[in-house]
Amino acid sequence: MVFSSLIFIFLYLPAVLMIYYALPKRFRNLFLFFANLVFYAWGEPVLVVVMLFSTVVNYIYGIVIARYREKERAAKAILVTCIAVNLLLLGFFKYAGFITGLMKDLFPFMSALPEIDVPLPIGISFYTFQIMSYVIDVYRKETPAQKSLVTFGTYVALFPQLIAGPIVRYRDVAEQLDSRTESMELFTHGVKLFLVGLAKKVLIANQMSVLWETLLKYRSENGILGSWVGITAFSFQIYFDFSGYSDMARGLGNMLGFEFLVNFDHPYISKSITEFWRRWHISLGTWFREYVYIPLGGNRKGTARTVLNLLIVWFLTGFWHGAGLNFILWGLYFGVILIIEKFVLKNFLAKLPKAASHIYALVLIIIGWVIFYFEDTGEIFEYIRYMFSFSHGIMGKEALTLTVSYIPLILIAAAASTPLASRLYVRIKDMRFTWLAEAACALLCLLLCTAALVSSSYNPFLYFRF
Amino acid sequence: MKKFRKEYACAFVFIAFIGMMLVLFAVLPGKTYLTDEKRKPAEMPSLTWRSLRDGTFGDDMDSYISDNFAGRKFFVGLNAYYDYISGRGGTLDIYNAKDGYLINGPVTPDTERLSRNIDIIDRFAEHIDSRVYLCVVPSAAYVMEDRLPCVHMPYHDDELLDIIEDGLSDSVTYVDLAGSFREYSGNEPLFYRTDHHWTTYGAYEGYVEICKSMGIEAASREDFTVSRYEGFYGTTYSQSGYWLTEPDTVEIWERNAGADAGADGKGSGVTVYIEENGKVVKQRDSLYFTEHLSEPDMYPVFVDGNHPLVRIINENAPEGRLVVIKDSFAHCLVPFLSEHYREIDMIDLRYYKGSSSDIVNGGSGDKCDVLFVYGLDDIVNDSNFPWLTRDIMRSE
Repeated sequence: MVFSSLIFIFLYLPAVLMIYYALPKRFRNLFLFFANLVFYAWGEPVLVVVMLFSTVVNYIYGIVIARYREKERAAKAILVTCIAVNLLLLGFFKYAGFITGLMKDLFPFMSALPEIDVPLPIGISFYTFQIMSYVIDVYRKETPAQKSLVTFGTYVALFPQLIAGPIVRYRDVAEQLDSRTESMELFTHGVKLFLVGLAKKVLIANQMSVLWETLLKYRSENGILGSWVGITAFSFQIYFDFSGYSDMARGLGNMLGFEFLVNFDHPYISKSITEFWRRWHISLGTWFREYVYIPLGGNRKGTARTVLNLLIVWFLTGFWHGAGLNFILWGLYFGVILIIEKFVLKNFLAKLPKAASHIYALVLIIIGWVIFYFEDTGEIFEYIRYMFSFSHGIMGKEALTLTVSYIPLILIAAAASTPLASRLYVRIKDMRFTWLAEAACALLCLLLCTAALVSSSYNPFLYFRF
Repeated sequence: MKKFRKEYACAFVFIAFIGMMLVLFAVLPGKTYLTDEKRKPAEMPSLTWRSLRDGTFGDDMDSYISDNFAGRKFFVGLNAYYDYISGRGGTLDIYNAKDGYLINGPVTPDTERLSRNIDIIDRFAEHIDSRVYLCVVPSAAYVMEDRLPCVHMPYHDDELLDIIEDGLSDSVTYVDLAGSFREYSGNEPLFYRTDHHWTTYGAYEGYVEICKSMGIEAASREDFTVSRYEGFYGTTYSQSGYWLTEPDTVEIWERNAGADAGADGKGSGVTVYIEENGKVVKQRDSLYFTEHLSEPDMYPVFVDGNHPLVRIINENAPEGRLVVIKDSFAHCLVPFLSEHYREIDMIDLRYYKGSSSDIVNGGSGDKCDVLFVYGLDDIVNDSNFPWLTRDIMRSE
């Protein structure tokens, strides 16, 4: 089930909220556990088993590691097997097909390998990482092991963030899992976040995706400017899609009494790639820093080792996004830029005028999206050629029509990518009639989103693939 | 009960809205027909292991909820007008154009298919021993360019019409409507505002051009009595969501009694046989099926809409047969032509899968003319043309 669907908003969500609040506190986790399974099984009635398996295995691992916590070597050995099991599961479902395919291409003698075509369980990349944060933290004594299987299962499959994050570390919500206080304040905050996210997804991301895909049809006629408009539209699509989903997840969490950390902090206002990655998909960056980069030695073992560590982390970050060469390329692309920024450009960028460093960062981010979007390496270079060559003209007829038609929406998207609105909100939020304006905005947002969903046929979620 | 607190207003709006829609959805009876969209709503899917597994259950459930959503018409309209107001009107499938016109946006042309279709028509014409005419109705947008929104996707009519004209061999006479329609500056609309078809007046203008090509004398406008029927909402309207658009008026033009020597009464002498699967399923002594005038879509009033094969016999007309191979644009045109042919056979290749050349060659032994009537979109994108020459290809 996706959040931006009629069935979720008008059937599943009200049902869950009503039952949740009707139940006494001690039954709420159990109920959430089953509600999560319904949510997940709606799209994956078979592969829900994989998630349940993972949950049970890691629940046991958690308890065992906690028991052997004082015996360093034993605990470490158990942890290693546990991580191996998790990575094997993820590897099988997500990467087996890709890796065997690659082997067959590279080494002719391996051509006898079978074609592996396993379906990707939705959200496996997200919940596997959440689970690993749990067992590692238990090993590191950052958190006690969870005694209740139901509570642990509720954490793993918590429907708000199950499918597309944020990647909530166990220790960040451990307390909330056992005792949380739902309140009207938090619920209202959740409603606002959910509506903001819904509007981002339905009113901006979906429309930008129409613009991008229509432009793609004419890609050889769009000309240099049309090509930039196209990939800009995709940049907006992926940001509003993904951050909208995160907002909805955090909002839903609030409605149920949870508080998750912010996942996106206006990434497109960054003035360097280093800054961009501090603002984009924060929970993933945190995860890799915490569980890969620092354990590898981070930047404490000399320059050469730091460079290597960074490359490893960015290879993995890219690969995490999808089983494809372009994702690896995309990760390494950013890894290399980050290394250059860290060792060479840092002082130079700081001295640049703001506008120049903005442009520098945006151009690199946008080129990154080209690599991210096209799975075929040839297409990546073809599209980059369109972006930098006048040989296809400046702007084709179709591209011009589309661009002019989408200008209002592009401007809205650009403004919504900055902290402008939230700054304004902070200033007016205690004024006398703000509540009325808020309620009116909420109603307008509900009406427009419902209208779009009722008449829409176009509603893909990008991060379903990961 | 706690006092209403202003800071919770958003939460109340949210709960009230969702709750209200949920209750309405549960209480209101299921819909049996979506009148404005002219289609049946999706049915409640049945839950089976297979449909759950392959995801069709979820998708079907979404369609079911969407089609039965309380206030669906309002929401669809809201969405259409929101898209329009936020600037994207010129990129949607249907344009909310000037003077209350709803005009279909350009279809991505399949020029290869068009060339193939033209080849097939040529081949067919060479194979049979008849005079063959091709009449292509240009798109409303082409004829009414000045009414289109200033920003819109480019149309390809000129390019496509050139392909048609250049591709035809000498065995087919091309009736050029595009030129005369474009130059037309009269007040009467050639196309409906809410439908992609031409009006009866537009068809009359087409009839005049066809007569010129055929070398017969067209009846003049004064020979007809026009009756008007208001409240026609066409298919463009249904697909657009622009519910505030005014309805059209459908005109039926009937030949005045006595205007033609030998005619002994209005409408008499005409019999329409509607055939499906080789059997006559309907027979009527009028070209007009007036029961459709009480429906929102009135266009089927002309010879009962789409059927594989329709045979029109006019006892009062001079000798002669005409085979019309067509899409729905022909429906309001054939009444004019029926004055000139004793028998007209209308073939719709989308539904008729038999041999068209047999129909042309068969019959009472009269020399038979063949007229192709197509809207531009259909002749470009219709994939059913190969049925026309299937038996010819086989025998060769």
